[in-house]
Amino acid sequence: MKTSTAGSIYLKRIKKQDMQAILDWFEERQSKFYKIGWSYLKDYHDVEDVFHNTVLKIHENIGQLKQDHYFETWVTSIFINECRAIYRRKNKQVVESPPERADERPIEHRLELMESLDQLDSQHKEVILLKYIQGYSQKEIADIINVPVGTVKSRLYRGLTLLRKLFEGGEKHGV
Amino acid sequence: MECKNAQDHMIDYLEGNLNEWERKEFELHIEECAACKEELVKLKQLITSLEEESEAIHVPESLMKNVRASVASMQWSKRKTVKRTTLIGAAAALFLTVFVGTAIATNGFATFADWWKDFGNKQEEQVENFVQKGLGDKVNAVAESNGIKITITNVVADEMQTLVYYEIEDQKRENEYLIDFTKGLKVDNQEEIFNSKDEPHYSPVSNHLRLPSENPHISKGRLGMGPLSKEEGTIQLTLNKVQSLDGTDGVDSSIRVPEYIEGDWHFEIPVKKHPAIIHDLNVETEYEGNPVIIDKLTIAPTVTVLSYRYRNENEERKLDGLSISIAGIESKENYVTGSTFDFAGVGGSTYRSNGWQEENATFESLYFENPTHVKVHFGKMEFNVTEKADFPIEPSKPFPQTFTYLGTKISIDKVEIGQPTLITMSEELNANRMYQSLDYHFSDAEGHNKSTVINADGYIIDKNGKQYKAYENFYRLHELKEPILYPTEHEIQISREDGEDFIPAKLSIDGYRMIEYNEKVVDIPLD
Repeated sequence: MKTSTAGSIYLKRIKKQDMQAILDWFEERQSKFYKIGWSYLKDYHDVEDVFHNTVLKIHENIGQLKQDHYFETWVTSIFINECRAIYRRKNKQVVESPPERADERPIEHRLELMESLDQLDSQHKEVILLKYIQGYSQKEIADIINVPVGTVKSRLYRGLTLLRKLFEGGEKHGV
Repeated sequence: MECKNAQDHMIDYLEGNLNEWERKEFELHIEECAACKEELVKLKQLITSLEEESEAIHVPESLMKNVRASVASMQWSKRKTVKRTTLIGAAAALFLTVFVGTAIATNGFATFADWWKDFGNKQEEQVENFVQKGLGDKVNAVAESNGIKITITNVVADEMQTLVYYEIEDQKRENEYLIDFTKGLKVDNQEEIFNSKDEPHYSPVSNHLRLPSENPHISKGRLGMGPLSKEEGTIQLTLNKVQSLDGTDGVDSSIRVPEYIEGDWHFEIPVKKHPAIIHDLNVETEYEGNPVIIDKLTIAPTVTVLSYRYRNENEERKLDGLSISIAGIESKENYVTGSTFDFAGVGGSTYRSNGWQEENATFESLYFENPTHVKVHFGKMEFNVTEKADFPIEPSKPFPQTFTYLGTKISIDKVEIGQPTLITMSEELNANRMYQSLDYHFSDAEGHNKSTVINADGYIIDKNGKQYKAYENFYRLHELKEPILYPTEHEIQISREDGEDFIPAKLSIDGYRMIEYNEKVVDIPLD
């Protein structure tokens, strides 16, 4: 994602390690990041911790950013890493494949949707979060988590398929 | 189009990513194949539901406010300081960073220059030590371009970091140069050789330390990188720019606009990583009524890392932004302290998780001794006190304009409006002063508020009450017993983003920062 002109005003200050600028930049995008964090961790305090840790990491490591227009991608990578770290700490187990007896209820029961999402393993969960909860493109996601675009695409497909299974069971065509 | 193909294309179809031809083929198949059609419909439903879920997630009002507060309190206890190419930035940067927390090992030097020279000698000794004990490698990879000769002299690598030592010689004997690791430096095989989570758009080098050199036309430095991903390898380093120091002694190059000379230098640096000794400790203890858990001690060739965490749980003393630091680690033969310059940048991190404040504090290396028993010396705690006060400033009236905050006189001595606006402020230091460092900012009539301190000075007062002028003595901090910094003079530079002049209307004090020294020693046997 390109940094807008307004964004680049911040960036100049951010590169000088201006903490206020980093916080201001985040504040403008808090909804975006909050959605990712909350969907990942489901706990307000944890998401606050992720924001906190991410801001500090940006401040510490801004010197490493080589290309300005990758700033947001870089920040999102860090954000996701922090989410992962906290998630791992809290939940020792992760379910790769759906449980034996899947639920028959239709997709309309959304409470279960987020719970099912929770049961996905990190790799699939992350791409789904980034794509459908947050709205990044496949290319952007590829940059954020540093895998090829093809991998993003197949993880999306497989992730959605697993999500469906967790959700409603039933026959799957050809998978 | 076959079913398998159709499945591969579903995601792209829903996004509108398929070209004309692919789309037609896909739609044709969907019409013919009931199973794929159903799948597509279900997928679309799922996606829509996810998007609707997303809409339902709302950011709580207090989020940014809380984040700002917790970040602000953390800033005061930052351990790392070394700015990129300078050893010493503006005094202010020093105050907010070097002073608070890290002691610098010195030996009673009279002047900074002496200390700097000794620092260089120590570094050389350390590298020699590494090489002799088989932990470092002499490299001697040379490259010349544009009249500038760069030599990679040594490399030392362990689980925590990889240090690459180099020298740059101007063959024309006119200038001095240094590597600016943020520009023109590339590790060609970065993905293969480093463990970094490999965000591809920024440098594998995380820090740079300038080292003193006897020869005026040879400058020396050290690049700090993350650890190698494997036990050994070859770093393929390419440089296409070096920074010209242009006659300054390079110490305060933060103020100058750097110039660069282009060229083409390439190095093959063979490296071997040396394993760290990791002791899992899980020692539970407390400090001033706050629970502390010492998780692990990592003894690596280049550095020692103590990982510990704590929570603010002293019911009688609820402290904001609590930070607990370790003064040093004592072993049978050594007492190591946190050395800013030994572990430039890669560690010393703080982290919050689940109500615990986690720290990875770094200390000089204990590797050669490999102790079986250590004593952890807790040093101090730092915390914020919130005590707000606002003082109006009237630029049209004469200066100084003074106020009293908690019994101490604060005066705005001078305001020069311009691009940027310069403000000089001073605080009294006498028996009445009950706070240590103020947390403040200036705002203008429109509420713009941002301060960049460019210079600060004050006094360091030690355990015995002896006063030392701060700027002159920062490098002797280690000798001083329980030093506490009291800023007294500030030069602040402020400008507005929109290009208008910043006209201060108010000084806002949010509170102040305090340091308390409380000793505690924890005995830990290592197995």
